[in-house]
Amino acid sequence: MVSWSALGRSFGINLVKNSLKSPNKIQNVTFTTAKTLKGSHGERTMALQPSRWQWHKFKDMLHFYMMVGLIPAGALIFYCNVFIGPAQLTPIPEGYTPKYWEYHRHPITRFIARYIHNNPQQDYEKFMHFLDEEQQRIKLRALEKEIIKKMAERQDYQAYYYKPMVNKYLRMNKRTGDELYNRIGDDYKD
Amino acid sequence: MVQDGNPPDDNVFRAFCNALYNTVDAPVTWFRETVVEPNQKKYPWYHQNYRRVPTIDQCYDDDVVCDFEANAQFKRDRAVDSEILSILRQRYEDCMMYEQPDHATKCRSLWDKYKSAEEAWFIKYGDLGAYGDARKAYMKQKHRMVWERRNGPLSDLTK
Repeated sequence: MVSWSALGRSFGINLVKNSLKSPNKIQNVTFTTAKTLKGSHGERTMALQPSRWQWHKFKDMLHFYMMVGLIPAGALIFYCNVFIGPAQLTPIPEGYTPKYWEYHRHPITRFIARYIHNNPQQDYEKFMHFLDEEQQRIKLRALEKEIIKKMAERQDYQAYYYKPMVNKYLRMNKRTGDELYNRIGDDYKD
Repeated sequence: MVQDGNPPDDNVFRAFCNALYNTVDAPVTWFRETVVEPNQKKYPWYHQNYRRVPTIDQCYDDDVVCDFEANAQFKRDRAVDSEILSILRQRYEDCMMYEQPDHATKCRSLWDKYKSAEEAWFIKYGDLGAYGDARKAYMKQKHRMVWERRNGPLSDLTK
């Protein structure tokens, strides 16, 4: 409960306060539990308080790593905006097809569009080719299914029972059979 | 709102307001005019012109490529029409802000134009749902025309 921890805290503080009756000076340094302001002139105080080292270290690291990112990025963005600047919108001149990155305004966007992304028209056409190929496969499969269904329905086509053959295994078996015949002969009784 | 200072402003209050504004604006404007603008390069950028492709009603029903292109064109057209509607709405709203509280009479023509444009937009693109594509819009048109043939016209725009 809140009241118990308050009791514990005041217990600890009272212990320290009881031991620090008067301003406690050891070798000209005052030890105090009071909040100290860091002044260079004024008494030298040693604050008896829990360490704030981890908090200070965290702030240090946070600032450092943020600046490692922010300063180069900020410098790049400043350079792009001040020394290159955004483009002006102009009508397309006669007989000229602009490159695909020339449809963007900001220099960084143009850079990304030119060197990192693909040409959107190329992507569009590649996707349409892929769609067309898949559509042909769909049509082929649908046709095969239809034919097999009809053959099963009408039972009038012998190819329904046709299994595709690979001659490789037939040749191997024939070769084995010939070798056995050469060794053993046709040992069978009619 | 930065003053050129040609006739110095007599109005003390206005001059004070301008001075207050310029405490922030003047250094920024100076920096832009002396440092930024001379150093910027001038080069063009263009507006992409897309070719018109066959619409969904001109495609065979099993032609996936035609369907994809018609759909892409439909989405572009919808974006353009939405922007047009937005511009008309902005015009009415600017007029309304300026003419308050007489906006009902003074801005009437802008309001009527906006309302008919909005109705037309809704007839074509409205109520198609999140996955609305060209085919759904085409079917919506077909159903609307069938309904209108049985029950008479829905609005002035569809007569």
